[in-house]
Amino acid sequence: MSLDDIKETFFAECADQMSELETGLHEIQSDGPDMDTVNAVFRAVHSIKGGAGAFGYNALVSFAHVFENALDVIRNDLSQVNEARMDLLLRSVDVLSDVIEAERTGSEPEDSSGLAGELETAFGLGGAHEEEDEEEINFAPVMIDLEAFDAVEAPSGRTFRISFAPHASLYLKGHDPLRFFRELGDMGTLSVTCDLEALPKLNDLTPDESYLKWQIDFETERDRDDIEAVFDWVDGECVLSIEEIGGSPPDGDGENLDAFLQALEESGDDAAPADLVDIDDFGQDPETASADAPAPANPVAELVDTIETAVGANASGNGDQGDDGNDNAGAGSKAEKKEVKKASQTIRVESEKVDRLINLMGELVINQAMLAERIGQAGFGSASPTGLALVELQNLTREIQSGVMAIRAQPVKPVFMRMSRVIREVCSATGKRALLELEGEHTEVDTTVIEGLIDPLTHMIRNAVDHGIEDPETRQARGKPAQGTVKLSAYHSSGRIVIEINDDGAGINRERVLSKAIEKGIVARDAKLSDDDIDNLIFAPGFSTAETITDVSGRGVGMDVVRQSIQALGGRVHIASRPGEGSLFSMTLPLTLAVLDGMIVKEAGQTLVLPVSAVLETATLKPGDVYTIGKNNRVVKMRNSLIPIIDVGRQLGFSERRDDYTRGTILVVEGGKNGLGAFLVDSIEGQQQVVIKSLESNYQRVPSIAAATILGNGQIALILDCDHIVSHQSGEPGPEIIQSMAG
Amino acid sequence: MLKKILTVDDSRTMREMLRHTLANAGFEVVTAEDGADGIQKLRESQPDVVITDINMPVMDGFEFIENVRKFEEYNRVPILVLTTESAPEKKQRAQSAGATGWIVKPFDPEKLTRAVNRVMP
Repeated sequence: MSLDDIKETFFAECADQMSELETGLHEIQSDGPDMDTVNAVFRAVHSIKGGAGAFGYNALVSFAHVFENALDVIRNDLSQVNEARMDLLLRSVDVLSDVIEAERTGSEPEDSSGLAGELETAFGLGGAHEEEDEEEINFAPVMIDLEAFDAVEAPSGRTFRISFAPHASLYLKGHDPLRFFRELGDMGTLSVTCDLEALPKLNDLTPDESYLKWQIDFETERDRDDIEAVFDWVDGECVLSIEEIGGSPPDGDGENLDAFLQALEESGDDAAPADLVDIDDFGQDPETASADAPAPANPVAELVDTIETAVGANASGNGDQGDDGNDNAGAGSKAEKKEVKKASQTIRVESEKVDRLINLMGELVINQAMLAERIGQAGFGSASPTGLALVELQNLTREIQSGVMAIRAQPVKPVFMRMSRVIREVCSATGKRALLELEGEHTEVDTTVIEGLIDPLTHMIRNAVDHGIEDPETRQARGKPAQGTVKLSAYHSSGRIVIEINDDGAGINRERVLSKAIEKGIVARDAKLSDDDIDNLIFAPGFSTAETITDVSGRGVGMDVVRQSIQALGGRVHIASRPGEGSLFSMTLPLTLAVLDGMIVKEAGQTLVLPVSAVLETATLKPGDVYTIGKNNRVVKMRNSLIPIIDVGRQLGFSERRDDYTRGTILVVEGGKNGLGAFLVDSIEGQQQVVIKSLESNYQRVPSIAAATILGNGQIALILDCDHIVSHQSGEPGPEIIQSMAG
Repeated sequence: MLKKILTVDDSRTMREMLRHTLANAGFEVVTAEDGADGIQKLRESQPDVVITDINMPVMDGFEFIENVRKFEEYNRVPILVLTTESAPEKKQRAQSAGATGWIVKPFDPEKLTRAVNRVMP
């Protein structure tokens, strides 16, 4: 993996951390601070800073540093959270994200020092960046100085006498005296003597006690601080004294490192039992070890046994040996086992791979439908072994499909979280005050839908604050809280996802919208439009109330672009407004853009597909079931209500109105917010999974048609947009019909 | 046989950086995502040196070090702490937990390698 790849990883990770950060801060803002969330938020910034440092993104490091310090204040005392500080932190999130973006694209990051200063002031960070030896390796700030080796010949420095007596705990922290000597050896010349005086007889020896001391005569050009730094990390783990004895080393004029190491190894052999050091460490050359060992081979083996038993006994209970944490070794490891189990296993997969899988799955669905068709034609019944095998294949395909779709399904939360930034930006640009409220943010939907959702959602949220929420004074004058609320919610409904944006602002000014629409020639001057129709005029192409265009929601795109991008996803958008109380934008989108369970019907020679999820029941009508309301409106009484009969072929304009409603089949279809519709078709052909092929991308948007598909026999069929058909069954054309006629 | 280093860090970037640096320096690298994962990887891979972050979810670096030191078969494995934090009390805590050394991020590849070699058994 190259550094560039790692950079990519870094920015991908930044995105994850940012969403974590934003989510966390949001939770703190709405539910108050709790330690876990604060820690997660802190970690996110901390991680970004760490990675940024590795790549030398200095602007990012310095801002993240201040941010982190601010969060640290909260981490140390949760009661430090207040509204002003939270605001500042949320603004910092935006700036942090901008700085990351600038670093990613290699552009000049905007100056973040202003906000950094605000953070420092607000959190009492004392301004001065503690540039505390960031680059230092603290336990051993030593350079390998080749000159020091050269200088061995003619040492011309100071001589120190170091006495070093490790406590047993030193060995328990991964230290090995040899390494300190080695390190000193890098800085000068030394002679080491091991003091064995405290070493007891083998029988009296406690294997995990420390008995050895060393005296080191060290000649170096470095000063005392450098020597102390070598032992910095064993401060408190040993008795150490460093004393300058001046001139030249007392004996062994400049012994070289090898000689010293050898000396150490020899002393180590004797010392092995005493300082808990693994026998292997010293026995790198076992033959030499046993040959050099003071006692014959047999006692060595005995010694090993002794050590093993002693260590074993020690581990199994009485950790009476000075150092904390050893006492409950047994309990500790059990707890860890549990924790290890808990760690969840996730893998990261490129989305391209998943996309390819989804495409293949689509092909599989078509292929299976074709196979089913052929098998039917060949005269195999559904109860024949071939038929049963086919059913099994169908079940498997379905399972694979839902499995594959589940891979791509993601909660809408990250997109929702982004909107809180949008709201903050609009608020600061307009001087309004608004808070984002989330509901159902864990609702899952296909990633492609999520991606397509970002732009329209951003635009609608902007719109809701800019045009919906009143300024604080007006709100108070109207008896509303100064701070407006924009509620963003998501839920599943009949196989689709519904996303709603509900603001408590002023609602739509219908008079102005209508006059604008008439002025722009979008509706006829004498058109009779319901309130609902007027509200939805804002989605009409060419409609943008010029005087309300602002920096915020203007940007040259109207709500029709929003509508188009939602329709491109196979979705619909609708607005309901209550003057003075607010507006509700609702979007319904398919959960996936890949396949759907289709009900295949025939009408006037055409094969059509309805989403099974929309069909509530099917029936054949008897003469007495049909009532006429008004001039031409036929309804059927079912489910204790009167449901309008929709003659599908006629509504879509490819067949004449039929006279006899009893010939044909009725499908009771749920048309979203528009209630029910009784779709009248010639016959029902069956159910099958169909692969959704967008018409829009290849042809253009056609009202009442959601998409097209390829059936098992290779025939192309249209998938109906049931909601649209139900909402436009009255015969009175709504705005969308007008548009399609105009465009 | 290559000397083996276990790195414990919750940041993917850091893990990859460490792998990159240490593999270039001729070490075999095993990575873990947090302390709990680290304990498991420690048992599986028997590393010669451990490098750990402090601030991690599930099990933080302090707890990780303490836990490693509880296993008598691992209580002598050198553990280097690699973190952006440099507060003395944090160092003190890491030390009393049983850390062998402390390196402050961002790390310089050369210095890191040198530090690892210094504690390598």
